[in-house]
Amino acid sequence: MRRAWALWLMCASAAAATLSPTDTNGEIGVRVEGLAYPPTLARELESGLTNRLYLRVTVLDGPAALRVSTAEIAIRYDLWEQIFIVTRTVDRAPAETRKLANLTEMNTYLASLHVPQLFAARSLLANRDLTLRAELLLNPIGREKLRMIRKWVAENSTTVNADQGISTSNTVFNRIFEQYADGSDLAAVWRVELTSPPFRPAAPAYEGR
Amino acid sequence: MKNKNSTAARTLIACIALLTAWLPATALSQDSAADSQPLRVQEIHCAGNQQVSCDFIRGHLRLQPGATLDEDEIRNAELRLSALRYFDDVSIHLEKGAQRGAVIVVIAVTENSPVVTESVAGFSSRMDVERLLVGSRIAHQNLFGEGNFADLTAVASIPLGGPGRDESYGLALRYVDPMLFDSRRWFGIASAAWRKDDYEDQYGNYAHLETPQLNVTMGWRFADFSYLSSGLSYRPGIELSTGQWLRDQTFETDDEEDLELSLRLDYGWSSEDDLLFPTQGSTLQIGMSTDQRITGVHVGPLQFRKTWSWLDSYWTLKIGGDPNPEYHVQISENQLFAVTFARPVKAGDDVRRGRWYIEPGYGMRGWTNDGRHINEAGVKIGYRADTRSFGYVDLYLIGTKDVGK
Repeated sequence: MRRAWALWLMCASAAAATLSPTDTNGEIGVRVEGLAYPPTLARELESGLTNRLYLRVTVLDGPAALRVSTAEIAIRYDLWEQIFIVTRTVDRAPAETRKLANLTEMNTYLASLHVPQLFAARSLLANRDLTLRAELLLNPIGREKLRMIRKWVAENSTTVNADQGISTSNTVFNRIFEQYADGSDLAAVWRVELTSPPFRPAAPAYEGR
Repeated sequence: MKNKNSTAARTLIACIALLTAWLPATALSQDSAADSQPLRVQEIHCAGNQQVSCDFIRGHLRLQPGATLDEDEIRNAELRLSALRYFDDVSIHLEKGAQRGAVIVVIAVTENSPVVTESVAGFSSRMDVERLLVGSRIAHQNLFGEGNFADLTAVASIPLGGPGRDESYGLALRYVDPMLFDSRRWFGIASAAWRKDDYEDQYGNYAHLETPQLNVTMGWRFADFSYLSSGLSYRPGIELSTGQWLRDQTFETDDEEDLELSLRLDYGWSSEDDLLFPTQGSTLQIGMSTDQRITGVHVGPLQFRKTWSWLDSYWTLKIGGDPNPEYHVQISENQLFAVTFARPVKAGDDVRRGRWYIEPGYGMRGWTNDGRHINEAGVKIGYRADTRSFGYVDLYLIGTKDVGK
């Protein structure tokens, strides 16, 4: 299992995923396709626990960041109804709740992930070639929680179950800690960054719905 | 009559319409209520554990049967358990309980092998004395299923040439109880070892040692990261002779065969998050010892290490080499003062994690025959990895010179 994770971690960023802008009634959103989700995703989704897919989308004018919007897609499997309840929030405001009947529908939803209405097109610079950058994290861990967990590890590696001369932490854990050490405000075992092709908000002809 | 019938029919239709309109709303609200109703923990089960007890695993999840399910706490417990050396993989899922809203929390683990290995191989050319250092350790991390620990370590330094000699061999067998008296505060160590060292530098300073050694140590942890330990060593038939130049250009020799018993007291702390791949924190160890002659108290050595992360790299300041916090042991070669710059390498099929590093350093190594301080300065470069095939591996090259020459 850990080998699969390691392989996946290495290849995730190189997978042929695409990010494209969409327009819904003058509001710019994103569509993410071809993401290589972790191989354990199906198990995670059906765990009965809420899985959170976090997106942080930035509008870029060249290297300059113009706007940032965040979306969270919370997926919970109802053990009794055996359906998936998907709740999308944008900038913490509820945007949509939908029910998906089975894992196949869930996978279809994730395979072409559409997150509409992140930015008002009129608020962006017209007639400029802009790009979108999206960071996607599965079950992200905030910096404060990481700090607490890390403190716990440091305390426990000396007082409870010390590593006794042999290093302790596992790959997944180390991966998260390295992101923390890099200064990331959020860390996750699955983390992907994508950039869209250039687009002009004045003429968003990519997808109108 | 017709009108009455017509009125009754209209009333019936209106009622049905109202009922029809009300039913989905009621169903929806019940559905929403069910969706939003917090789940309750019915039981907590473990799966996949063979060596590690379910009580130990459950102890890391701060939830009890009957409590409201706290998903944040479950994610925290997943991380806490993932950090333990016992497990290769940890995942928690829910199963339906006896009734709607009641869940069974299942903590599924894949255990690591309790047997781990660590190897070191390095070539060193220190002040023109060349040698090859190889070492290996095999450890069982969970003896008797109680978290006790035993390891066997062998290290050899093989001389390759130069105007001097640095040859040593060591073999050590240790047993550690990290929770002596079933207490998180106490730990105990017993070891039996044999070592032989022959060192001579180009100026004539030398040290020769050959001894078996039996040690018993007991330690006490306190505060968040600190510990005190006291140990007794017995070295039957020790042979130790040293000779060194002093600042006034006299040569001092000492043949000590009455060091059979010694007592040692150590203080230290370790707030690092990992012994071999620290990303933050510090470790210190300092001790004092006396022997059966009680002619004095020898203080030292001081060992200190602190690690920071900066610019996607890890920076470590080391004094006195890699410390051995509590009963941890490092098999490595170091300089007295060093700064390490390390970069993580990507995990691969065989490498779980790894770092390459470069470590410039400096040290004072006594006096020359003409009364000059020996100033050793050099650099070590290496690669350390946690591999699936060979365990922990440390490969390095170190070269130093007497820069005052």
